[in-house]
Amino acid sequence: MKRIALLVIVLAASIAQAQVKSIELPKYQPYLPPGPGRELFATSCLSCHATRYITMQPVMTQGKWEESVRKMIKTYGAPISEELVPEIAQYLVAFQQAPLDPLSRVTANPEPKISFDPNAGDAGKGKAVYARACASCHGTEGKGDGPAMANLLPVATNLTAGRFARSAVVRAITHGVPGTSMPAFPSLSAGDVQDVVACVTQMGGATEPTIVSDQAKLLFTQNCASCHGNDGRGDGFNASTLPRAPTNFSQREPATEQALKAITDGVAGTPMPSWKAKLADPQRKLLADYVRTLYHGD
Amino acid sequence: MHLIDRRTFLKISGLTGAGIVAPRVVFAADATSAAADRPQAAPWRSRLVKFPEKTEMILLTDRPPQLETPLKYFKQDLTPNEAFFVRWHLSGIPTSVDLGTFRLSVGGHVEKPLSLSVADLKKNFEPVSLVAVGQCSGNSRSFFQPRVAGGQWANGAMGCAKWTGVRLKDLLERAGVKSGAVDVRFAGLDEPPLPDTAKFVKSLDLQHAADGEVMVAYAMNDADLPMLNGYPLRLIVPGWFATYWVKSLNQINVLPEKFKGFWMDKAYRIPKADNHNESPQRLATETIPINRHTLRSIFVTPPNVAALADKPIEVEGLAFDDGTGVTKVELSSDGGKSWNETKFVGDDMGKYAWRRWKTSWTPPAPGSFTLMCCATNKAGVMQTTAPQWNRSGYQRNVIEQIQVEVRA
Repeated sequence: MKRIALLVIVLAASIAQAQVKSIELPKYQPYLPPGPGRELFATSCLSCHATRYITMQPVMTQGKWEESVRKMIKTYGAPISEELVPEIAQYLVAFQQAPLDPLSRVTANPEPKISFDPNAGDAGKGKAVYARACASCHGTEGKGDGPAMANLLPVATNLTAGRFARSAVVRAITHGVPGTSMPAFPSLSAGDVQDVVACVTQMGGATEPTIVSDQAKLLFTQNCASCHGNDGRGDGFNASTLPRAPTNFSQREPATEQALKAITDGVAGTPMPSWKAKLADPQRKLLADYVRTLYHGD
Repeated sequence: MHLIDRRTFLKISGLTGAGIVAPRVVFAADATSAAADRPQAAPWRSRLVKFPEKTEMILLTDRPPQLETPLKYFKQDLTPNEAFFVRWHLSGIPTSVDLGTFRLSVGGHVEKPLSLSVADLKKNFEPVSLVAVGQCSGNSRSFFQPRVAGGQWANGAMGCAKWTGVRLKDLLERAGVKSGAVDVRFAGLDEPPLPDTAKFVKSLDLQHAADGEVMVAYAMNDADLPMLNGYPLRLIVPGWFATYWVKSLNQINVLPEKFKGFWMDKAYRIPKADNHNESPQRLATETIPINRHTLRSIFVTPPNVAALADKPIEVEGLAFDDGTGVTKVELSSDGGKSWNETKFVGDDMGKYAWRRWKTSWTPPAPGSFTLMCCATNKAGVMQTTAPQWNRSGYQRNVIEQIQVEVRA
């Protein structure tokens, strides 16, 4: 009898599973050739569409591109201020003169075979690993200002602002961060990874506590949840389509001023747009405080 | 070959009125294959990509996905699911659907709102099947001159498939449409990424929606729809442009008033007058929502066949319209002075399917030849070379011309 019941449960589970159909979309790195207004373009346009929308267009003049960008604002609700239109159009003109999009696939790296104990590292030893493997992009002090970062978008993460769950850092080092220049580091030993994680997670720290306000929560639900998810875990409806995964705030607590800057100016080279034209200063401040309340750590 | 100059364009576009069967060759030049600008040969089109459940297709854009069917798939009556074109408007597209929780709601101005699983649809309604061409409003947009911004499709934003599902009429009857209903509104699982972007919602007037042909399909060529083609349910509006064929359909709403919404009132509109033409200098002041397919025929082969003088080559293509019915397709090799009827090949799969045609042509001498194909339908409407242009690059259907270089 017990066995039949078990069989029924297994069958029911497999039927339920058979009813879910999922696909994994291929993702491509945004193509951002050099040109005036590159960073502005990279914070204004990538939330809704890939750069391939530019690649395929017939050659257009500055005036035609301005018309196009205005259409994005007026008819599609892009959060771009009118005064930025000429600069974006200028970049689009330069984009069309650049070499063809190399169409680089964003690939997720396979799960690493070794397991890591995120709490086992020695931060002192990790410093040497950091200097060797990380500092060229993240900078000697972890501020994301290393010399190798010139012209790369998105820029390297500032590791000193706010804090990260250790498991998230392990994952970034062993998998890389798809959609950014952060590679996986398969050459690091398990010990090296544990040590450098200890070193990196000591660079930042908890930010001042804030109080969750209903207004902030509502703003988050209305404007942010479609990508970051209702609980800020980076699992919103759009998340599966994006070349760079939205920040998971349960594992990443940004510093206040850093969060405010991302909300205000966008994060160039990622789908995170600038909200300056849509949300007022106090609203953006509320959101910057709110996302810091979502952190759970490991 | 020469490009149409602007003045000629204005003159002619003002002359061809709606419904008039114009002489098919207004003059012997159209910009389709102008050597100066051959959009179908643009370098960005050379990269083929494979998306989930799809074969290698021409990548227009990756997010949201727009994938074009390579021409070779048009040498068969039905377009395989894996090769059927893909076009989404908003980057928030469904990538996972759970049939255990997925429901199609039929509500609004009805007596008894319904919430139906796919299994309910399969079990409790009479299944119907129909072969129909689904064609993007902007199919062939890249051939317009002057060029128009938007998805730069060549001829591959279309496909012909067998759709199986239930009549929308039966769903509406089951829900009991209240008197005074006017429109029916359709929405799917796709979502805008930003709060100020309009969700993709389309509408049909009630009479059309309940005509017994409009269908909610759960199968495409006897298989589940690929996710990217609208799994698990897609609205099929035979004879109408595919902008109405709402993918991943999960909401049907009956309205007691005319539907108002961005995707009907601002987007997907064509000029009302001048046979739906306008010019960049004189944009139409009145526009209407795009609707039925226009009559068209295209070449599938060649485009790039190597032809030798006195050696016959096979020329093949397809033709369709809004369900009126294509009666013949003719081929000209002398700039439209003389025409020869081609043969229909493949099966006649119903009035909403395309008809494939084939003929053999023997180049009389070395040199450059322009082949043209022209369809005629049951209503006596014939394609023309009258210049065609509208600001959105919709419903292109001028007589197609291809250039064949013949060697000795």
